[in-house]
Amino acid sequence: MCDECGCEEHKHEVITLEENILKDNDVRAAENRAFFREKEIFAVNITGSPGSGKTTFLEMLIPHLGKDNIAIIEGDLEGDVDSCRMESLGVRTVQINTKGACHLNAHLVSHAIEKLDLNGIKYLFVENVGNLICPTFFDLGEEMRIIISSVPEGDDKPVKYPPMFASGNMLILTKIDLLPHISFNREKFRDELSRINPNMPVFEVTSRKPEMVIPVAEAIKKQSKEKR
Amino acid sequence: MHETGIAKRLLSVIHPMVDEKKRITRIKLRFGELKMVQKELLETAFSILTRGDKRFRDTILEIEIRPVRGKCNICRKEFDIKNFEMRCPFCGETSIDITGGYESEIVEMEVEDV
Repeated sequence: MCDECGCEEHKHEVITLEENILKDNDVRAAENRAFFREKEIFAVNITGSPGSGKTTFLEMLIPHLGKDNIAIIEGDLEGDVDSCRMESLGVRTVQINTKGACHLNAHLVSHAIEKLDLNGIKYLFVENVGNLICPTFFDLGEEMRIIISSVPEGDDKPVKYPPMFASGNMLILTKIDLLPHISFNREKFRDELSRINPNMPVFEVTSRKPEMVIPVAEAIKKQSKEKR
Repeated sequence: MHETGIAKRLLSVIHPMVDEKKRITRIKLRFGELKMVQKELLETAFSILTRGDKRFRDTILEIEIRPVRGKCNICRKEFDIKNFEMRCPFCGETSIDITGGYESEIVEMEVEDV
């Protein structure tokens, strides 16, 4: 007779597993991280909503870090719009199409790296799929995660998507030229951020004043030196 | 939103362990709150991915959610973190380490012979 339910015909067995379901990604991410460190490449994961200005931010940033020092991995469901934008600036770029997946993972990034000539590269930017939820949970092997949030998205984004905002090392508030036209409460936004991620530096930019990205470039350079 | 991916990973762990002569009656899972797993969405994804597979007929998913845990780097005390309040409740310091809340484990499963 079965011990578990007392039935006559079934034999039950409990198998203890204690296994991390998402360990595959963690293992791959650790491999990527070790690879970047060995090559002295500072890897940055760029996340944010669709349309928050991730690609425009990169376009602004590139001249201040030097286009020949940078490689870029673009992640999108479909299309090569973003990689074309990067290539037109003369930056080594590879496009990943996730074909429906809402986030990049460490495995996809490890294959994208194989396609890039990393000779002389100091910074690798991985522009994630636009999404404030799923990319949070997938470590790509980066040293730094930059979250892009734009004024038109509203000041309530940190309250609504706290895991993402808690996971960042730097936040860029974009499109600040729109502040006079939109009811975006800067203090409320910053207060929420300081509750969820008290030590995360926040920078404000607009593509109308590209020089506003200079302090961001300086902060990235400083961080990368500290990691080396 | 990432529940389908989690269900796929879960099945990739389980599939090699059970042949057609077995049925899985129960799977116990444990997630940290920071993984933001929605029980109902995971159940739906699991049931869609296993539809028609006799090994997973009427399988019960037992899902345990663990709280986010923090440890203060200054006073060294440990505590539960509620509502993403990333601050030590004892001394108010913001230099804290997250020590729990990222779990995504398959704890055990129960199988029967058919």
